[in-house]
Amino acid sequence: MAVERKSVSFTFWLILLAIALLSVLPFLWIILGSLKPHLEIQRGQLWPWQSYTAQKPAGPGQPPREVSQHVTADNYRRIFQKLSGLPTYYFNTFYLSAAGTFLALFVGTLAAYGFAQFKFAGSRLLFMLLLLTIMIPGEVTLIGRYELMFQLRLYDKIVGLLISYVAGSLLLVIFIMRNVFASISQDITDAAMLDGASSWKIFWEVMVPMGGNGLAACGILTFLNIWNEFLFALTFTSMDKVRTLPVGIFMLKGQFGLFNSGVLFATVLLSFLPIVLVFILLQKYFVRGLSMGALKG
Amino acid sequence: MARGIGKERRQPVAYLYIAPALAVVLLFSFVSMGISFYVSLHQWDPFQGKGQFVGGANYARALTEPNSIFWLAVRNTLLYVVMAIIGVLGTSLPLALLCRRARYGQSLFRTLYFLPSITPMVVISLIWIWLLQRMGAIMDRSQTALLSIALVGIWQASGYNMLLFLAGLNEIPQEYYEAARVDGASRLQEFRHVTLPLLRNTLVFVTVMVIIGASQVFTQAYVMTRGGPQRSTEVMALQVFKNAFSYAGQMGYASAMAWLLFALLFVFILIQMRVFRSRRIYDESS
Repeated sequence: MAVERKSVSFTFWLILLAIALLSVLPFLWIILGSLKPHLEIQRGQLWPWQSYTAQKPAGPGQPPREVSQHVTADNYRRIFQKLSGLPTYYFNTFYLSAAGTFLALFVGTLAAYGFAQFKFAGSRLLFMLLLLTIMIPGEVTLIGRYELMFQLRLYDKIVGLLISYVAGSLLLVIFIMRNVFASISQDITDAAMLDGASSWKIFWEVMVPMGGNGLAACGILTFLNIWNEFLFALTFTSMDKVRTLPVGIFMLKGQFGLFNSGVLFATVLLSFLPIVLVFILLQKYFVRGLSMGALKG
Repeated sequence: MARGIGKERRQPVAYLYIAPALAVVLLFSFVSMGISFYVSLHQWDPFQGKGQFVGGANYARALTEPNSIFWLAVRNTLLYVVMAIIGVLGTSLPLALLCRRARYGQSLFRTLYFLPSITPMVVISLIWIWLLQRMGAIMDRSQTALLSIALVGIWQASGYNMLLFLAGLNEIPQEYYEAARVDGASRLQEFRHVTLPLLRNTLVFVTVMVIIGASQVFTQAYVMTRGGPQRSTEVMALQVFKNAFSYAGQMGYASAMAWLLFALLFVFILIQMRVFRSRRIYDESS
Protein backbone atom coordinates (compact mmCIF):
# COMPACT_ATOMS: atom_id res chain seq x y z
CA MET A 1 0.00 0.00 0.00
CA ALA A 2 2.67 2.40 1.07
CA VAL A 3 4.82 1.46 -1.93
CA GLU A 4 1.90 1.92 -4.33
CA ARG A 5 1.11 5.35 -2.92
CA LYS A 6 4.69 6.41 -3.30
CA SER A 7 4.83 5.40 -6.97
CA VAL A 8 1.51 7.13 -7.63
CA SER A 9 2.73 10.33 -6.09
CA PHE A 10 5.93 10.05 -8.12
CA THR A 11 3.86 9.86 -11.31
CA PHE A 12 1.94 12.93 -10.21
CA TRP A 13 5.19 14.65 -9.54
CA LEU A 14 6.46 13.87 -13.05
CA ILE A 15 3.24 15.24 -14.58
CA LEU A 16 3.57 18.40 -12.53
CA LEU A 17 7.16 18.77 -13.67
CA ALA A 18 6.16 18.33 -17.32
CA ILE A 19 3.51 21.03 -17.03
CA ALA A 20 5.95 23.29 -15.22
CA LEU A 21 8.32 22.91 -18.16
CA LEU A 22 5.50 23.90 -20.49
CA SER A 23 5.03 27.18 -18.64
CA VAL A 24 8.75 27.89 -18.42
CA LEU A 25 10.00 26.82 -21.86
CA PRO A 26 8.93 30.01 -23.69
CA PHE A 27 10.92 32.04 -21.16
CA LEU A 28 13.92 29.79 -21.68
CA TRP A 29 13.67 30.42 -25.41
CA ILE A 30 13.62 34.14 -24.79
CA ILE A 31 16.78 33.94 -22.69
CA LEU A 32 18.55 31.77 -25.24
CA GLY A 33 17.31 33.85 -28.16
CA SER A 34 18.49 37.09 -26.62
CA LEU A 35 22.03 35.70 -26.80
CA LYS A 36 21.85 34.86 -30.50
CA PRO A 37 21.94 36.95 -33.68
CA HIS A 38 18.83 37.37 -35.75
CA LEU A 39 19.72 34.86 -38.45
CA GLU A 40 20.23 32.00 -36.00
CA ILE A 41 16.90 32.73 -34.36
CA GLN A 42 15.20 32.61 -37.74
CA ARG A 43 16.75 29.19 -38.33
CA GLY A 44 15.64 28.06 -34.86
CA GLN A 45 19.21 27.48 -33.71
CA LEU A 46 18.91 28.78 -30.17
CA TRP A 47 20.99 26.39 -28.12
CA PRO A 48 24.27 27.82 -26.89
CA TRP A 49 26.19 24.80 -28.23
CA GLN A 50 25.04 25.52 -31.77
CA SER A 51 27.86 27.66 -33.04
CA TYR A 52 27.73 30.05 -35.93
CA THR A 53 30.12 32.12 -37.98
CA ALA A 54 30.28 35.77 -37.11
CA GLN A 55 32.01 38.58 -38.95
CA LYS A 56 34.29 40.49 -36.66
CA PRO A 57 36.05 43.72 -37.60
CA ALA A 58 39.79 43.16 -37.80
CA GLY A 59 41.35 46.57 -37.63
CA PRO A 60 41.34 49.42 -40.17
CA GLY A 61 41.79 48.59 -43.82
CA GLN A 62 41.49 44.86 -43.35
CA PRO A 63 38.55 42.65 -44.36
CA PRO A 64 36.48 41.43 -41.38
CA ARG A 65 37.61 38.05 -40.14
CA GLU A 66 35.28 35.16 -39.62
CA VAL A 67 35.01 33.80 -36.10
CA SER A 68 33.10 30.80 -34.85
CA GLN A 69 30.87 31.89 -31.96
CA HIS A 70 28.34 30.28 -29.63
CA VAL A 71 26.62 33.24 -28.01
CA THR A 72 26.74 36.99 -28.36
CA ALA A 73 26.01 40.02 -26.21
CA ASP A 74 25.47 42.21 -29.27
CA ASN A 75 21.69 42.36 -28.77
CA TYR A 76 22.09 43.89 -25.33
CA ARG A 77 24.72 46.31 -26.58
CA ARG A 78 22.37 47.44 -29.33
CA ILE A 79 19.54 48.04 -26.87
CA PHE A 80 21.61 50.48 -24.90
CA GLN A 81 23.00 52.15 -28.02
CA LYS A 82 19.78 52.56 -29.93
CA LEU A 83 16.76 52.40 -27.67
CA SER A 84 17.07 55.63 -25.77
CA GLY A 85 13.44 55.38 -24.64
CA LEU A 86 13.82 52.25 -22.54
CA PRO A 87 14.88 53.94 -19.26
CA THR A 88 11.90 56.30 -19.59
CA TYR A 89 9.51 53.38 -20.12
CA TYR A 90 10.98 51.68 -17.08
CA PHE A 91 10.64 54.77 -14.95
CA ASN A 92 7.06 55.46 -16.07
CA THR A 93 5.93 51.90 -15.51
CA PHE A 94 7.59 51.68 -12.13
CA TYR A 95 6.24 55.06 -11.03
CA LEU A 96 2.70 54.21 -12.15
CA SER A 97 2.77 50.77 -10.52
CA ALA A 98 4.22 51.99 -7.22
CA ALA A 99 2.16 55.18 -6.87
CA GLY A 100 -0.97 53.49 -8.22
CA THR A 101 -0.65 50.61 -5.79
CA PHE A 102 -0.07 52.94 -2.87
CA LEU A 103 -3.05 55.15 -3.71
CA ALA A 104 -5.36 52.24 -4.47
CA LEU A 105 -4.42 50.53 -1.20
CA PHE A 106 -4.90 53.68 0.82
CA VAL A 107 -8.19 54.85 -0.68
CA GLY A 108 -9.52 51.30 -1.03
CA THR A 109 -8.69 50.28 2.53
CA LEU A 110 -10.41 53.39 3.87
CA ALA A 111 -13.56 52.47 1.98
CA ALA A 112 -13.33 48.81 3.02
CA TYR A 113 -13.14 49.95 6.65
CA GLY A 114 -16.15 52.20 6.10
CA PHE A 115 -18.18 49.34 4.71
CA ALA A 116 -17.02 46.69 7.19
CA GLN A 117 -17.22 48.70 10.39
CA PHE A 118 -20.17 51.05 10.13
CA LYS A 119 -23.86 50.77 9.52
CA PHE A 120 -25.15 53.71 7.56
CA ALA A 121 -27.97 54.60 5.26
CA GLY A 122 -27.37 53.34 1.74
CA SER A 123 -24.39 51.16 2.62
CA ARG A 124 -25.76 48.13 0.78
CA LEU A 125 -26.73 50.17 -2.24
CA LEU A 126 -23.38 51.90 -2.46
CA PHE A 127 -21.52 48.62 -2.11
CA MET A 128 -23.62 47.03 -4.86
CA LEU A 129 -22.89 50.06 -7.02
CA LEU A 130 -19.17 49.48 -6.56
CA LEU A 131 -19.53 45.75 -7.24
CA LEU A 132 -21.34 46.55 -10.45
CA THR A 133 -18.23 48.20 -11.85
CA ILE A 134 -16.55 44.81 -12.18
CA MET A 135 -19.15 43.86 -14.77
CA ILE A 136 -18.62 46.98 -16.87
CA PRO A 137 -16.46 45.93 -19.80
CA GLY A 138 -13.32 48.01 -20.34
CA GLU A 139 -14.59 48.81 -23.84
CA VAL A 140 -17.49 50.85 -22.46
CA THR A 141 -15.39 52.98 -20.14
CA LEU A 142 -12.52 53.25 -22.62
CA ILE A 143 -14.17 55.76 -24.94
CA GLY A 144 -15.75 57.67 -22.07
CA ARG A 145 -12.44 57.92 -20.25
CA TYR A 146 -10.71 59.03 -23.44
CA GLU A 147 -13.15 61.94 -23.75
CA LEU A 148 -12.86 62.61 -20.02
CA MET A 149 -9.05 62.76 -20.30
CA PHE A 150 -9.38 65.41 -22.98
CA GLN A 151 -11.93 67.45 -21.01
CA LEU A 152 -9.77 67.36 -17.86
CA ARG A 153 -6.59 67.99 -19.89
CA LEU A 154 -5.13 64.70 -18.67
CA TYR A 155 -4.46 63.18 -22.08
CA ASP A 156 -0.77 62.33 -22.57
CA LYS A 157 -0.15 62.96 -18.85
CA ILE A 158 1.12 60.36 -16.40
CA VAL A 159 -1.38 61.63 -13.82
CA GLY A 160 -4.26 60.77 -16.11
CA LEU A 161 -3.11 57.18 -16.43
CA LEU A 162 -2.47 57.06 -12.69
CA ILE A 163 -6.01 58.06 -11.72
CA SER A 164 -7.40 55.69 -14.29
CA TYR A 165 -5.37 52.81 -12.83
CA VAL A 166 -6.37 53.68 -9.27
CA ALA A 167 -10.03 53.67 -10.32
CA GLY A 168 -9.54 50.29 -11.98
CA SER A 169 -7.80 48.74 -8.96
CA LEU A 170 -10.02 50.06 -6.16
CA LEU A 171 -12.72 47.43 -6.41
CA LEU A 172 -10.37 44.52 -5.80
CA VAL A 173 -8.87 46.22 -2.74
CA ILE A 174 -12.26 47.17 -1.30
CA PHE A 175 -13.66 43.71 -1.87
CA ILE A 176 -10.75 41.80 -0.33
CA MET A 177 -10.13 44.20 2.55
CA ARG A 178 -13.80 44.36 3.50
CA ASN A 179 -13.74 40.57 3.92
CA VAL A 180 -10.51 40.80 5.88
CA PHE A 181 -11.84 43.53 8.19
CA ALA A 182 -15.16 41.75 8.66
CA SER A 183 -13.27 38.67 9.86
CA ILE A 184 -11.49 40.64 12.59
CA SER A 185 -13.24 40.03 15.87
CA GLN A 186 -15.72 42.68 16.94
CA ASP A 187 -14.46 42.34 20.52
CA ILE A 188 -11.15 43.93 19.62
CA THR A 189 -12.69 47.04 18.10
CA ASP A 190 -15.27 47.25 20.90
CA ALA A 191 -12.46 47.15 23.47
CA ALA A 192 -10.57 49.87 21.65
CA MET A 193 -13.74 51.96 21.48
CA LEU A 194 -14.30 51.60 25.21
CA ASP A 195 -10.78 52.91 25.72
CA GLY A 196 -11.96 56.02 23.93
CA ALA A 197 -10.13 55.43 20.65
CA SER A 198 -11.46 57.37 17.68
CA SER A 199 -12.57 55.53 14.58
CA TRP A 200 -9.46 56.76 12.78
CA LYS A 201 -7.23 55.46 15.56
CA ILE A 202 -8.96 52.08 15.39
CA PHE A 203 -8.49 52.02 11.64
CA TRP A 204 -4.85 53.02 11.68
CA GLU A 205 -3.61 51.26 14.81
CA VAL A 206 -5.82 48.16 14.94
CA MET A 207 -7.34 47.28 11.58
CA VAL A 208 -4.47 48.11 9.22
CA PRO A 209 -1.80 46.20 11.19
CA MET A 210 -4.14 43.22 11.58
CA GLY A 211 -4.98 43.17 7.89
CA GLY A 212 -1.31 43.01 6.87
CA ASN A 213 -1.52 39.78 4.87
CA GLY A 214 -4.59 40.89 2.96
CA LEU A 215 -2.93 44.22 2.22
CA ALA A 216 0.17 42.47 0.92
CA ALA A 217 -1.87 40.24 -1.37
CA CYS A 218 -3.88 43.23 -2.68
CA GLY A 219 -0.71 45.23 -3.14
CA ILE A 220 1.04 42.56 -5.20
CA LEU A 221 -2.02 41.92 -7.37
CA THR A 222 -2.54 45.64 -8.01
CA PHE A 223 1.14 46.21 -8.77
CA LEU A 224 1.15 43.34 -11.28
CA ASN A 225 -2.05 44.52 -12.95
CA ILE A 226 -0.76 48.05 -13.42
CA TRP A 227 2.70 46.90 -14.53
CA ASN A 228 1.11 44.77 -17.27
CA GLU A 229 -1.72 47.06 -18.39
CA PHE A 230 -1.78 47.70 -22.12
CA LEU A 231 -5.07 48.99 -23.52
CA PHE A 232 -5.42 52.20 -21.48
CA ALA A 233 -1.72 53.02 -21.75
CA LEU A 234 -1.98 52.57 -25.50
CA THR A 235 -5.08 54.73 -25.81
CA PHE A 236 -4.35 57.57 -23.40
CA THR A 237 -0.79 58.36 -24.49
CA SER A 238 0.84 59.29 -27.73
CA MET A 239 4.20 60.77 -26.71
CA ASP A 240 7.34 58.78 -26.02
CA LYS A 241 7.96 60.41 -22.65
CA VAL A 242 4.73 59.10 -21.10
CA ARG A 243 4.94 55.62 -22.61
CA THR A 244 4.95 52.50 -20.42
CA LEU A 245 6.93 49.31 -20.95
CA PRO A 246 4.18 47.19 -22.56
CA VAL A 247 3.35 49.92 -25.06
CA GLY A 248 7.04 50.72 -25.60
CA ILE A 249 7.83 47.10 -26.37
CA PHE A 250 4.90 46.87 -28.70
CA MET A 251 6.19 49.91 -30.57
CA LEU A 252 9.65 48.36 -30.68
CA LYS A 253 8.20 45.35 -32.40
CA GLY A 254 7.22 47.64 -35.23
CA GLN A 255 10.67 49.20 -35.26
CA PHE A 256 12.90 46.18 -34.79
CA GLY A 257 10.80 43.06 -34.78
CA LEU A 258 10.78 42.42 -38.46
CA PHE A 259 14.49 42.51 -38.97
CA ASN A 260 15.98 41.77 -35.59
CA SER A 261 14.30 39.34 -33.25
CA GLY A 262 17.46 39.06 -31.13
CA VAL A 263 17.15 42.66 -29.96
CA LEU A 264 13.44 42.14 -29.38
CA PHE A 265 14.10 39.06 -27.25
CA ALA A 266 16.71 40.92 -25.20
CA THR A 267 14.37 43.86 -24.61
CA VAL A 268 11.53 41.56 -23.66
CA LEU A 269 13.78 39.79 -21.17
CA LEU A 270 14.90 43.05 -19.58
CA SER A 271 11.30 44.24 -19.36
CA PHE A 272 9.93 41.44 -17.22
CA LEU A 273 12.99 40.40 -15.26
CA PRO A 274 12.40 42.97 -12.46
CA ILE A 275 8.79 41.93 -11.94
CA VAL A 276 9.68 38.24 -11.83
CA LEU A 277 12.32 38.94 -9.19
CA VAL A 278 9.91 41.04 -7.14
CA PHE A 279 7.28 38.34 -7.32
CA ILE A 280 9.65 35.56 -6.29
CA LEU A 281 10.78 37.64 -3.32
CA LEU A 282 7.23 38.48 -2.22
CA GLN A 283 5.33 35.36 -3.22
CA LYS A 284 5.18 34.10 0.36
CA TYR A 285 2.85 36.99 1.25
CA PHE A 286 0.86 36.58 -1.90
CA VAL A 287 0.15 32.89 -1.44
CA ARG A 288 -0.60 33.44 2.23
CA GLY A 289 -3.06 36.18 1.34
CA LEU A 290 -4.80 33.93 -1.16
CA SER A 291 -4.95 30.88 1.09
CA MET A 292 -6.23 33.04 3.92
CA GLY A 293 -9.42 32.97 1.90
CA ALA A 294 -9.08 36.59 1.04
CA LEU A 295 -10.57 36.01 -2.40
CA LYS A 296 -13.45 33.99 -1.08
CA GLY A 297 -16.97 35.07 -1.83
CA MET B 1 -22.07 51.65 27.11
CA ALA B 2 -23.51 49.23 24.61
CA ARG B 3 -25.66 52.07 23.37
CA GLY B 4 -22.56 54.17 22.87
CA ILE B 5 -21.07 51.53 20.60
CA GLY B 6 -24.25 51.24 18.60
CA LYS B 7 -24.31 54.98 18.20
CA GLU B 8 -20.69 55.04 17.11
CA ARG B 9 -21.37 52.49 14.40
CA ARG B 10 -24.24 54.52 13.04
CA GLN B 11 -22.18 57.67 12.79
CA PRO B 12 -22.14 59.34 9.40
CA VAL B 13 -18.34 59.42 9.69
CA ALA B 14 -18.51 56.30 7.48
CA TYR B 15 -19.23 58.52 4.48
CA LEU B 16 -15.89 60.21 5.00
CA TYR B 17 -14.13 56.86 4.74
CA ILE B 18 -15.85 55.77 1.56
CA ALA B 19 -16.06 59.18 -0.11
CA PRO B 20 -12.64 59.24 -1.86
CA ALA B 21 -13.06 55.76 -3.33
CA LEU B 22 -16.61 56.47 -4.36
CA ALA B 23 -15.65 59.74 -6.04
CA VAL B 24 -12.90 58.15 -8.14
CA VAL B 25 -15.04 55.17 -9.12
CA LEU B 26 -18.06 57.31 -9.91
CA LEU B 27 -16.02 59.62 -12.12
CA PHE B 28 -13.98 57.02 -13.95
CA SER B 29 -16.56 54.26 -14.22
CA PHE B 30 -20.03 55.72 -14.16
CA VAL B 31 -19.41 59.19 -15.55
CA SER B 32 -17.26 57.75 -18.33
CA MET B 33 -20.00 55.22 -19.05
CA GLY B 34 -22.40 58.11 -19.30
CA ILE B 35 -20.07 59.99 -21.64
CA SER B 36 -19.70 56.89 -23.77
CA PHE B 37 -23.49 56.57 -23.94
CA TYR B 38 -23.79 60.24 -24.93
CA VAL B 39 -21.18 59.69 -27.64
CA SER B 40 -23.04 56.63 -28.90
CA LEU B 41 -26.05 58.81 -29.74
CA HIS B 42 -23.96 61.09 -31.94
CA GLN B 43 -21.95 61.18 -35.09
CA TRP B 44 -18.97 62.04 -32.90
CA ASP B 45 -15.96 64.11 -33.82
CA PRO B 46 -13.25 63.37 -31.22
CA PHE B 47 -11.11 66.32 -32.31
CA GLN B 48 -13.82 68.86 -31.55
CA GLY B 49 -15.30 66.94 -28.64
CA LYS B 50 -18.81 67.23 -30.03
CA GLY B 51 -20.99 65.75 -32.70
CA GLN B 52 -24.30 65.67 -34.47
CA PHE B 53 -27.17 63.92 -32.70
CA VAL B 54 -28.27 60.81 -34.58
CA GLY B 55 -30.41 59.05 -31.97
CA GLY B 56 -30.30 55.27 -32.15
CA ALA B 57 -28.78 55.17 -35.62
CA ASN B 58 -25.45 53.81 -34.43
CA TYR B 59 -27.21 51.02 -32.53
CA ALA B 60 -29.42 50.21 -35.49
CA ARG B 61 -26.38 50.10 -37.74
CA ALA B 62 -24.54 47.68 -35.44
CA LEU B 63 -27.55 45.39 -35.09
CA THR B 64 -29.01 45.36 -38.57
CA GLU B 65 -26.28 46.22 -41.05
CA PRO B 66 -25.82 43.44 -43.61
CA ASN B 67 -22.64 41.46 -42.88
CA SER B 68 -22.57 43.36 -39.59
CA ILE B 69 -19.11 43.37 -38.04
CA PHE B 70 -20.84 43.66 -34.68
CA TRP B 71 -22.44 40.22 -34.85
CA LEU B 72 -19.26 38.75 -36.25
CA ALA B 73 -17.33 40.22 -33.32
CA VAL B 74 -19.97 38.95 -30.88
CA ARG B 75 -19.70 35.47 -32.40
CA ASN B 76 -15.88 35.50 -32.22
CA THR B 77 -15.88 36.85 -28.68
CA LEU B 78 -18.41 34.24 -27.57
CA LEU B 79 -16.33 31.47 -29.12
CA TYR B 80 -13.29 32.87 -27.39
CA VAL B 81 -15.09 32.97 -24.04
CA VAL B 82 -16.20 29.34 -24.42
CA MET B 83 -12.67 28.25 -25.31
CA ALA B 84 -11.29 30.21 -22.38
CA ILE B 85 -13.74 28.70 -19.86
CA ILE B 86 -13.10 25.15 -21.05
CA GLY B 87 -9.37 25.73 -21.29
CA VAL B 88 -8.86 27.55 -18.02
CA LEU B 89 -11.14 25.35 -15.88
CA GLY B 90 -9.90 22.22 -17.65
CA THR B 91 -6.29 22.99 -16.82
CA SER B 92 -6.28 24.93 -13.57
CA LEU B 93 -8.56 22.68 -11.51
CA PRO B 94 -6.78 19.38 -12.33
CA LEU B 95 -3.48 21.16 -11.82
CA ALA B 96 -4.57 22.35 -8.38
CA LEU B 97 -5.72 18.84 -7.46
CA LEU B 98 -2.38 17.43 -8.57
CA CYS B 99 -0.37 20.17 -6.96
CA ARG B 100 -2.02 19.61 -3.61
CA ARG B 101 -0.87 16.00 -3.66
CA ALA B 102 2.73 16.88 -4.40
CA ARG B 103 4.85 16.22 -1.36
CA TYR B 104 7.95 17.92 -2.63
CA GLY B 105 8.42 21.16 -4.45
CA GLN B 106 4.85 22.43 -4.15
CA SER B 107 5.95 26.01 -3.73
CA LEU B 108 8.41 25.71 -6.62
CA PHE B 109 5.64 24.42 -8.90
CA ARG B 110 3.37 27.24 -7.76
CA THR B 111 6.00 29.80 -8.69
CA LEU B 112 6.67 28.23 -12.09
CA TYR B 113 2.98 27.95 -12.99
CA PHE B 114 2.44 31.53 -11.94
CA LEU B 115 5.25 32.90 -14.09
CA PRO B 116 3.06 33.48 -17.18
CA SER B 117 0.53 35.40 -15.08
CA ILE B 118 3.03 38.03 -14.04
CA THR B 119 4.33 38.58 -17.56
CA PRO B 120 2.75 41.37 -19.61
CA MET B 121 0.36 40.05 -22.25
CA VAL B 122 2.20 42.06 -24.89
CA VAL B 123 5.39 40.19 -24.08
CA ILE B 124 3.57 36.85 -24.07
CA SER B 125 1.99 37.63 -27.41
CA LEU B 126 5.39 38.47 -28.89
CA ILE B 127 6.91 35.22 -27.58
CA TRP B 128 4.03 33.18 -28.95
CA ILE B 129 4.05 34.82 -32.37
CA TRP B 130 7.54 33.47 -32.72
CA LEU B 131 6.72 30.05 -31.22
CA LEU B 132 3.55 29.54 -33.24
CA GLN B 133 5.31 30.48 -36.47
CA ARG B 134 7.70 27.65 -35.70
CA MET B 135 4.86 25.20 -35.10
CA GLY B 136 3.21 25.78 -38.45
CA ALA B 137 0.53 28.03 -39.82
CA ILE B 138 -1.91 27.88 -36.87
CA MET B 139 -2.04 31.65 -36.64
CA ASP B 140 -2.34 32.24 -40.38
CA ARG B 141 -5.38 30.07 -41.03
CA SER B 142 -8.79 31.56 -40.37
CA GLN B 143 -10.07 28.25 -38.94
CA THR B 144 -7.42 28.08 -36.22
CA ALA B 145 -6.38 31.69 -35.63
CA LEU B 146 -8.93 32.29 -32.87
CA LEU B 147 -7.96 29.02 -31.21
CA SER B 148 -4.32 30.08 -31.26
CA ILE B 149 -4.98 33.37 -29.46
CA ALA B 150 -7.23 31.49 -27.02
CA LEU B 151 -4.42 29.02 -26.31
CA VAL B 152 -2.15 31.93 -25.45
CA GLY B 153 -4.79 33.39 -23.13
CA ILE B 154 -5.33 30.03 -21.43
CA TRP B 155 -1.60 29.50 -21.10
CA GLN B 156 -1.34 32.81 -19.29
CA ALA B 157 -4.41 32.49 -17.03
CA SER B 158 -4.08 28.87 -15.84
CA GLY B 159 -1.45 29.46 -13.18
CA TYR B 160 -3.29 32.27 -11.44
CA ASN B 161 -6.57 30.38 -11.38
CA MET B 162 -4.79 27.29 -10.16
CA LEU B 163 -3.67 29.30 -7.14
CA LEU B 164 -7.29 30.30 -6.49
CA PHE B 165 -8.42 26.67 -6.68
CA LEU B 166 -5.54 25.61 -4.47
CA ALA B 167 -6.62 28.17 -1.88
CA GLY B 168 -10.20 26.88 -2.12
CA LEU B 169 -9.10 23.26 -1.78
CA ASN B 170 -7.04 24.02 1.30
CA GLU B 171 -10.15 25.41 2.98
CA ILE B 172 -12.01 22.08 2.77
CA PRO B 173 -11.71 20.43 6.19
CA GLN B 174 -9.73 17.20 6.07
CA GLU B 175 -12.42 15.44 8.14
CA TYR B 176 -14.78 15.31 5.16
CA TYR B 177 -12.26 13.30 3.19
CA GLU B 178 -11.63 11.00 6.12
CA ALA B 179 -15.37 10.45 6.49
CA ALA B 180 -15.70 9.72 2.77
CA ARG B 181 -12.84 7.23 2.99
CA VAL B 182 -14.45 5.49 5.97
CA ASP B 183 -17.64 5.18 3.87
CA GLY B 184 -15.56 3.51 1.16
CA ALA B 185 -15.88 6.27 -1.40
CA SER B 186 -13.73 5.98 -4.50
CA ARG B 187 -11.50 8.88 -5.55
CA LEU B 188 -14.04 9.87 -8.17
CA GLN B 189 -16.95 9.79 -5.73
CA GLU B 190 -14.84 11.76 -3.29
CA PHE B 191 -14.29 14.41 -5.96
CA ARG B 192 -17.95 14.42 -7.01
CA HIS B 193 -19.50 14.53 -3.55
CA VAL B 194 -16.93 16.29 -1.37
CA THR B 195 -14.57 18.41 -3.43
CA LEU B 196 -16.92 19.81 -6.07
CA PRO B 197 -19.79 20.95 -3.78
CA LEU B 198 -17.40 22.51 -1.28
CA LEU B 199 -15.44 24.19 -4.03
CA ARG B 200 -18.53 25.78 -5.54
CA ASN B 201 -17.79 29.31 -4.33
CA THR B 202 -14.35 29.25 -5.90
CA LEU B 203 -15.75 27.65 -9.04
CA VAL B 204 -18.39 30.37 -9.46
CA PHE B 205 -15.85 33.09 -8.74
CA VAL B 206 -13.30 31.74 -11.23
CA THR B 207 -15.92 31.18 -13.94
CA VAL B 208 -17.38 34.66 -13.62
CA MET B 209 -13.92 36.24 -13.62
CA VAL B 210 -12.86 34.23 -16.68
CA ILE B 211 -16.02 35.30 -18.52
CA ILE B 212 -15.46 38.94 -17.63
CA GLY B 213 -11.79 38.79 -18.58
CA ALA B 214 -12.26 36.79 -21.78
CA SER B 215 -15.09 38.95 -23.08
CA GLN B 216 -12.65 41.87 -23.01
CA VAL B 217 -9.81 40.07 -24.79
CA PHE B 218 -7.78 42.63 -26.68
CA THR B 219 -4.01 42.38 -26.47
CA GLN B 220 -3.45 39.03 -28.18
CA ALA B 221 -5.82 39.89 -31.00
CA TYR B 222 -4.23 43.31 -31.44
CA VAL B 223 -0.60 42.21 -31.23
CA MET B 224 -0.72 38.73 -32.78
CA THR B 225 -3.33 38.78 -35.52
CA ARG B 226 -4.76 42.31 -35.77
CA GLY B 227 -8.17 40.75 -36.30
CA GLY B 228 -7.18 38.64 -39.28
CA PRO B 229 -6.95 36.40 -41.19
CA GLN B 230 -10.30 37.07 -42.88
CA ARG B 231 -11.64 38.81 -39.76
CA SER B 232 -11.56 35.50 -37.86
CA THR B 233 -10.07 37.13 -34.75
CA GLU B 234 -12.09 40.35 -34.85
CA VAL B 235 -13.18 40.33 -31.23
CA MET B 236 -15.37 42.95 -29.57
CA ALA B 237 -12.69 44.99 -27.82
CA LEU B 238 -10.56 45.11 -30.96
CA GLN B 239 -13.52 46.29 -33.05
CA VAL B 240 -14.37 48.99 -30.52
CA PHE B 241 -10.74 50.11 -30.39
CA LYS B 242 -10.29 50.14 -34.17
CA ASN B 243 -13.52 52.03 -34.80
CA ALA B 244 -12.88 54.54 -32.05
CA PHE B 245 -9.20 55.26 -32.58
CA SER B 246 -8.07 53.94 -35.97
CA TYR B 247 -10.95 54.67 -38.34
CA ALA B 248 -12.04 58.28 -38.69
CA GLY B 249 -15.49 59.37 -37.59
CA GLN B 250 -16.61 56.04 -36.13
CA MET B 251 -16.39 56.84 -32.43
CA GLY B 252 -20.17 57.01 -31.94
CA TYR B 253 -20.56 53.67 -33.67
CA ALA B 254 -17.79 52.20 -31.49
CA SER B 255 -19.54 53.44 -28.32
CA ALA B 256 -22.80 51.89 -29.44
CA MET B 257 -21.07 48.55 -29.96
CA ALA B 258 -19.47 48.78 -26.52
CA TRP B 259 -22.84 49.46 -24.91
CA LEU B 260 -24.48 46.58 -26.74
CA LEU B 261 -21.67 44.34 -25.50
CA PHE B 262 -22.28 45.53 -21.96
CA ALA B 263 -25.97 44.69 -22.26
CA LEU B 264 -25.18 41.20 -23.58
CA LEU B 265 -22.62 40.56 -20.85
CA PHE B 266 -25.00 41.75 -18.16
CA VAL B 267 -27.77 39.40 -19.26
CA PHE B 268 -25.29 36.56 -19.60
CA ILE B 269 -23.95 36.97 -16.06
CA LEU B 270 -27.45 37.31 -14.59
CA ILE B 271 -28.48 34.05 -16.24
CA GLN B 272 -25.33 32.34 -15.03
CA MET B 273 -25.91 33.45 -11.45
CA ARG B 274 -29.50 32.17 -11.66
CA VAL B 275 -28.32 28.80 -12.90
CA PHE B 276 -25.76 28.45 -10.13
CA ARG B 277 -28.26 29.54 -7.51
CA SER B 278 -30.95 27.08 -8.62
CA ARG B 279 -28.42 24.26 -8.63
CA ARG B 280 -27.54 25.02 -5.06
CA ILE B 281 -31.17 24.70 -4.00
CA TYR B 282 -31.35 21.38 -5.82
CA ASP B 283 -28.22 20.17 -4.03
CA GLU B 284 -29.48 21.16 -0.63
CA SER B 285 -32.90 19.56 -1.06
CA SER B 286 -31.54 16.26 -2.36
